Amino acid sequence: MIEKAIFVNGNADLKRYSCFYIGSEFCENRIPDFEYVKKLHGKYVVLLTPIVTDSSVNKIMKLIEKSDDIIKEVVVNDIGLFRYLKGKVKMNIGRILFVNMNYSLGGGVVKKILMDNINAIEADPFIIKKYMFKTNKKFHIHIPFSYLAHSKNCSFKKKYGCKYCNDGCIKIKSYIGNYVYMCFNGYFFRNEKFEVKNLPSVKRVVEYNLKIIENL
Amino acid sequence: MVNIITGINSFQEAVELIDISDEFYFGLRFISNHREYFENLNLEYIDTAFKIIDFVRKKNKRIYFVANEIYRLDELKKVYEVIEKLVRRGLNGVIIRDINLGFRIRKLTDIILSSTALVFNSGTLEFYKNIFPLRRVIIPQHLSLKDARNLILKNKDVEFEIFYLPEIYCSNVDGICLFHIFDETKNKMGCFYAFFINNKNFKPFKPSFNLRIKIIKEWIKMGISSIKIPRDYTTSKKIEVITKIKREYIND
Repeated sequence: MIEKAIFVNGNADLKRYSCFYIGSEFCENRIPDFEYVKKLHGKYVVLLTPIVTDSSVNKIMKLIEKSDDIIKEVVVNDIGLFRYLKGKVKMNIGRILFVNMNYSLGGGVVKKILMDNINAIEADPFIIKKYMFKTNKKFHIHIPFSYLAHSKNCSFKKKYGCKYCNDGCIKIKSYIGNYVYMCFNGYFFRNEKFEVKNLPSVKRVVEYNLKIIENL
Repeated sequence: MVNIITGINSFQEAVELIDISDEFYFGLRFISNHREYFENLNLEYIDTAFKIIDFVRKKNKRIYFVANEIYRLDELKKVYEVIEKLVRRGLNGVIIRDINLGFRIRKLTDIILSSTALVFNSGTLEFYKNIFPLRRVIIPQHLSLKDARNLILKNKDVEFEIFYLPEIYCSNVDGICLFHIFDETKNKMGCFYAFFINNKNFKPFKPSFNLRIKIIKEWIKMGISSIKIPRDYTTSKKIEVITKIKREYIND
């Protein structure tokens, strides 16, 4: 049985899903505050966290401590967060960290330190195809956008404004896969069709219902 | 004192740069690294590496090997054996990203953490330091001066290195950019393709060249130990850039 989760960007239909992803795997500015998190009280909430600088580490830790009855899992993309979170909450390896460490997660000291302490691995159709390895860990697949790259110099913020980022993804004509989508401070391509039924380790699908902005 | 560390691709380059560069690094074609898509940026034979190490060490300068990719467990043995041979010859250290490799070589030689290891905060640096000793950390290009301050000041036991940012600055965070591997048959620099929004050319934002020049002095004031000149340029371009850095920032 594959669980269905939804990435919450603003208001989501809370009735259709039982599991909610909040925050961001890419952008430090999208770490939610407690006022936002408490609206999801009673739901199963997964907090996405990006690569972080020192100031965000404190912000994330305070949020998790304050929301310990709401946030049930944390998606970690920065290994610096591991030592703070270990033993406090279920940790999942995020897409960025999975891409960064890829094969090394399968053995050696990395397996002992990281893999034996995590609950699941977050991936997407492209990443799982590229880096899948033999493990007894669960995979959660994010659809329909597959990660390509991201920047700490956000083009939304610098060129178009954060309002557009909140609205959805900008469609970019490209020679790579025909179109690339700029969502948050990252670049993605869109998988129109992806079958999870042949991947038994996939236990959860995380849907992103982001609006596509075709004209600015 | 800030050192210049230069990436070299041949013995001849080592000879031409020996008087103006303080340290050197090189890659090998048969051990993958973050420039593996560019054969000309890596030495073909280990014997050339030996020759370069002999020459550089004789001139009392330091030299490092770059192995900053993630290796499959079955590859690690080979990588370790190559590093061992290079260290026996006089190599001073290895630039890495793979934690399993770092753990294996922790007693063998100095370890420099590549910018692709993504050290953006003190917790991450602490995580690595708990697994192997670190001589130096190469600061990721996207870590701002403001956000690096705490990291550098709190970790006096580690050296910090920056890229010469005016000349090299990726639009995306390096080390986790899949534009390199998206389409095996096309250009490995996928981010260099043209992008269009509403039929107008779109270029991802990055800080201007002038801004990147301006902050070099600030990085030096903050206490970085070295500035990296990457392997990507021609020898004459490397000489030009090093001369400029020394004239404008180090007052050689």
